[in-house]
Amino acid sequence: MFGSGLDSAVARVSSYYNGLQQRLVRARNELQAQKSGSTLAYSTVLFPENVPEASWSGNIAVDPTKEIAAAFLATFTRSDSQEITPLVDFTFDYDGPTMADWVRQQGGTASGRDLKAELDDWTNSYLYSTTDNSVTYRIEFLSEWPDSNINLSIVVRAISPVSGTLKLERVV
Amino acid sequence: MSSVEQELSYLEYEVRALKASFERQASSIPVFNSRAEIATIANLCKYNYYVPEYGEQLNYEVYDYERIQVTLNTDSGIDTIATLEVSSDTEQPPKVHRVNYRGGARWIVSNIAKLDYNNSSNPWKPTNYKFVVHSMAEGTLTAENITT
Repeated sequence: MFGSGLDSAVARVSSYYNGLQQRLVRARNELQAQKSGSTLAYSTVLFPENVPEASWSGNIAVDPTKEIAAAFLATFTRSDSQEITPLVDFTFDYDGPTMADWVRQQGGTASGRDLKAELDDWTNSYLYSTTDNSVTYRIEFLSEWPDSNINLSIVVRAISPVSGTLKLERVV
Repeated sequence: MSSVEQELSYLEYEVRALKASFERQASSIPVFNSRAEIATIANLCKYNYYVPEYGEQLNYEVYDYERIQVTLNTDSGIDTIATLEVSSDTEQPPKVHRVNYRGGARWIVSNIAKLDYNNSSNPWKPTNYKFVVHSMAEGTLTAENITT
């Protein structure tokens, strides 16, 4: 009789503390979830503090039988160890020779309001892939240059509310 | 109620309050809209050079690609996450890319000239663009034809 009463009391106490533990675990998980998501909620979204930059400069052999003369992958990887695909905008500038440059090299003349306009038609750029902590952007330069060897320079930036690193690699 | 339960209740209350506060912040992230319109002007380019294979001077003119520079200058002068919407009265889809710019956001929009081949004496027509930028920081949007 006494043993049965003790067992019952132990069972009640055990159930009581199991309940406390479950509530504590829920509270802890909830706090951790909010901490993980908080990088998208605070003022860092409005005020990105760091804008990592990467650049490439060099010679490109233009083969008119191939559609793409050169392609680059810019990868932004967040550095806060959160496994959440970062929000990021990629921006880039580039410079290379134009038809006007080539004509002038031949001793000719070129005139017009925007002689570099064709460069933008020779370029494609788009989001390429994502992982749990990174985003990759692809920038392509088409084989439209009138010369077989050109010098190209490109500067890429990543604008993100989270801190991270930017890597630029030539893949074509 | 035991003191442990009371403290736990306080903790749960704090979590609920924090969650409510967090979700209110996340859902109230401001998105500002700004608009601009512009018509392109002709980009008539002229080339003149000697072609040894033909043994003669080559002259040609072309209505080349037309580029518009769209700039969002934020009131606070910061760079911002932003999305550009482009609509135009031409069938050819434009090429758009965001360029490096400090103080907001800037894009270059490029497209071929709009030509009316039924009017051989004056085939060029302006392309009319409408831009809308959705950004996380408030600013002023401008658009201009590029001259280099």
